[in-house]
Amino acid sequence: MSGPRTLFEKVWDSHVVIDSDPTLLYVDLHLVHEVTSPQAFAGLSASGRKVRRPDLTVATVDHGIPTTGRSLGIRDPLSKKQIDALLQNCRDHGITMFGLDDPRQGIVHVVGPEQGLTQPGLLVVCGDSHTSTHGAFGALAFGIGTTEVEHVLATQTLWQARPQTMAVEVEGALPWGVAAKDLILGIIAQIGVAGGTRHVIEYRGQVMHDLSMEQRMTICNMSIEGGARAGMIAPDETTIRYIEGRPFAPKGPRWDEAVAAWEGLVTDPGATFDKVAVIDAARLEPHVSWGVNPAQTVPVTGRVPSPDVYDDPRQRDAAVRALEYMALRPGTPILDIAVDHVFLGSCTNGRLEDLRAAAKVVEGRKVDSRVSAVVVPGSMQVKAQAEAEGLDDVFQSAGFSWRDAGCSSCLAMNPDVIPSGERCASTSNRNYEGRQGRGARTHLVSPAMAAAAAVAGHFVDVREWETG
Amino acid sequence: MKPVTTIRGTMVPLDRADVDTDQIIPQQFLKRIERDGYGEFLFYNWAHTDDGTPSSDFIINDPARRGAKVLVAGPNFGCGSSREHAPWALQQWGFDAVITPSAADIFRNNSSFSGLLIVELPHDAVSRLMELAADPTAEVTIDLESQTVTASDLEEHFEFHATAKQRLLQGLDGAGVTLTHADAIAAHEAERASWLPTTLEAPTG
Amino acid sequence: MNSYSVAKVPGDGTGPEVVEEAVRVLAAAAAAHGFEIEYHELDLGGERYLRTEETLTGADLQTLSNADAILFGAVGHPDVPPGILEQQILLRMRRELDQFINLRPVKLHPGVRGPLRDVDPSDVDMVVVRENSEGLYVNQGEFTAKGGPFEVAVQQSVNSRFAIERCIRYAFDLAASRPRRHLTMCGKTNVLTFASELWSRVFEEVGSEYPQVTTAYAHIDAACYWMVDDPGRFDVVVTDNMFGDIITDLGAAIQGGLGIAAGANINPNGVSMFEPIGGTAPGFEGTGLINPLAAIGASAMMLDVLGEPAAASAVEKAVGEVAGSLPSLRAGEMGISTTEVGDRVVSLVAESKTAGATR
Repeated sequence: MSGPRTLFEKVWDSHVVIDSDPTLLYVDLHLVHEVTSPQAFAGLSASGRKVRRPDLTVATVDHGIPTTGRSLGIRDPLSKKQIDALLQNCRDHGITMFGLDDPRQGIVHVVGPEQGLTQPGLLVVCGDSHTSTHGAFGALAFGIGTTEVEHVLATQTLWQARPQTMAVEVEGALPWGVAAKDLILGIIAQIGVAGGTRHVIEYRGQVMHDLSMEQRMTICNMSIEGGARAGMIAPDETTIRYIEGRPFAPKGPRWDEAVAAWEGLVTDPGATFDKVAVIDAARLEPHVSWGVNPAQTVPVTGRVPSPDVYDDPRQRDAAVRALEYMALRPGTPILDIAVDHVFLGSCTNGRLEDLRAAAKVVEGRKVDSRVSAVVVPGSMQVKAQAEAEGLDDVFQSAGFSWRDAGCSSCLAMNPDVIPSGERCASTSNRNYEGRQGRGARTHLVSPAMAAAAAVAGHFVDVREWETG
Repeated sequence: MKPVTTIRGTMVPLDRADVDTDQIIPQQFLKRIERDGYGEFLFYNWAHTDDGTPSSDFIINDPARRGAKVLVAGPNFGCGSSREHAPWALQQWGFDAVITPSAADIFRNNSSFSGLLIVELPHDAVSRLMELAADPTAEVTIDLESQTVTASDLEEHFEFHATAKQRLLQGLDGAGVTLTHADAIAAHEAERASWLPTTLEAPTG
Repeated sequence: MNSYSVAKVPGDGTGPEVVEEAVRVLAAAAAAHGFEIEYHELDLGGERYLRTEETLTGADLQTLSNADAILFGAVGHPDVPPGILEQQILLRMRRELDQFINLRPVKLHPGVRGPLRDVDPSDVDMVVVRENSEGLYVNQGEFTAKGGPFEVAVQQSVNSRFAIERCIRYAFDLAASRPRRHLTMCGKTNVLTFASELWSRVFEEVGSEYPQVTTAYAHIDAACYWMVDDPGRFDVVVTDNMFGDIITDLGAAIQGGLGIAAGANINPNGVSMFEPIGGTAPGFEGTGLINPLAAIGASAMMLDVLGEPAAASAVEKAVGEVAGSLPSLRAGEMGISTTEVGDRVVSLVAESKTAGATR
């Protein structure tokens, strides 16, 4: 393809094996976890095939593992079967696995980047929709289903209909007290949960270059919540400095070659997008979700909306049902909503900077006596780094439970289930009905906001708090 | 995969937007390592009360709806998680097709692998089908070859990706088809840069 | 519904009778709580050895390692030289299946008359975590000048950081999951200046990761004293292989005897084995007088590890109630037969249905 190209087009084009519709693309990195792989490996065996590229495949356990009491073994018999299946499959096929005893174990989308496996320009896939996280490095990264997992295992390729491109231009700078989480929630509120369907989003604007890699990951992580196929941010100096020296990053002369190749990974001047959305960052505030999808959010200074604000009758009905599920009345100030649980973690906000931001809010304070607060570092490496900085002491002194790494309460496939009817301030990415447990009521927020809610027992505007 | 040509049957209307895959198949059922047996867990949380008894006012529990083949749903159907268990649950309950104004990308893609037909129609056509579907005996016919949906007074043409259509009509699936392009794959592999990461040199910690 | 594959090893002596009762109780639990158990029976023990000279074959180990859990009766036979069955079946099984934890709950149920006077049942409710892979059980040592007047026998105790740490971690996780959250380590630091010193260091290091668990140390001799004089001070106890062997027998005594004492050889990441800790009870075989409550209690531990906590709890509760209702837990003094004891537990468990399980 000649002429100016977008970042997406460059990465897509460099992975084309067969240029048809759909296109056959080559996969550089296949991340695997225990939930979406067992049927894929079983299918592989049934058809008498082997994993084509074990050297481009890596596995970890994250979704169903306990975050506490691990040396007692996996108590849930189904989770145990799934984890044993992955262990056996990785052994049979020679796939590197970061298992429960491995210090590198963690949530797959935290582990890939911190190990230096995620790099600019790669095509990364995983049987998990938040694979979009890796787009923060200028990789093309998206989630696939179990059948596609089997296909990638067998062929190291994927058939994909070419998506369209969408630019999300973020203008201005993030105001103080507004986190990357609030930015992506603000974007989703504006474009809607289906705003990016059939598109790959590129997040653009000076503010993107001011963000750290972890903040970029928070943003790209929730691209799927805006309906997008994937989300990307062009790599820059920050990206290069992050990757350098990591265990699986190229070294020596290969490093120099890689960096040179990455330099071209930017949208050319004059390249056009199929769709453009413009976000005014200066108007953003800390957000809190009130409803049952990630677009149903308001600023913390706002109120639970009335269903009447929706013109479309279906949206209005959905809002009525959402308010009923969440046991909220229109007009209630967000600041008045009390919480029962606080969950700090997930592939959205479970990294070191997220824990630092939360620890800063919590230091010297105590969790409200009615709140059960839990911190789940995104990986055992993040946990170790946090402990080296004394963050675990800060959280535990305040009354948080300090856990081992995993997906935990984000989707409650492990014992960390939020009980029915109880309210959880969560740094995760989805507030769907039943997501954190049947009947559980999820409010999505940033780490600082979650930490503040744990202390106050209800939502507070974290900008009002002194963090001295 | 069985070829998909024509689907004819009764409908179940689900007039809600943004039905996410957590609702279609909640997380506790993802612990299974099998590909089948998900039908009884379809829309589990909506279809059961807190103590696990089937909820009489959720439509798929209505005995009159048993045997329905087509789910008619609101826009952005199947959004959220990439769990392929969602189309499995729909198909194993008995649905052969979903008609919606729009389906989420990953869900639409996943559905094609087991032959659950996703048909996208304009909003007013879907609304008309919702009206017709109020009658549990009302039938709809979906013909993939001609890309048409017919029911009572409604006849609509739908868009469908040409290659995907051929695959469904012929019941083709899987890596076997892709591996007929083995040469092209190997050729691409030979050209890959040497600095690209591999996962087998394993420094620990 | 969930289905579990259990390797059943009735063994010798009274082993088959008590395992039979445990299986009946498990059937009642499975029916009441919505799961299934499929048994694979293995003939291991002195009887088989005398017939075939086989103790534990490769095929046996394969069957055992493929199971979800092992339900074990007892092995032992007066005609088999001592040590053969213990070494070649029991210890070999533990080693091959890496069952590096021996778990012994010591609980005095209300109504049970144990040997301790003036003790409240709530004061005897502890779990002993015994290191199960090394220590003095490595069978290392030597004789010099054997047979003569200057003979010397040296026995070695191997204590590795790896085995100690995994055992202590298990104990801390277990303590953290219990209401009292207290863990006592037993050793003999003033004498075992190397072995117990390493244990102490690991205990302190790992302990710093569990601020929610209070800890204590007791020399093993003091611990034995307190097991009799003040058992209420113990919640979870962790100790090495030999001390654990001793203190768990003491535990069995204070909880009412071998009729009720159950234990498990645990591989937290693999297959675990559950058994009544008493032996074959020669003399009681076939009389219908042996107490099956220990074997039934072991099956409750098995349910807990398999992931059926409600069923495990129901069986444990039933064991407690029946134990408290008997005039004695000793074989032949229970007032009713083996199967009648089993009947009572079965009927209590059958009433304990789970409401609305969703699996």
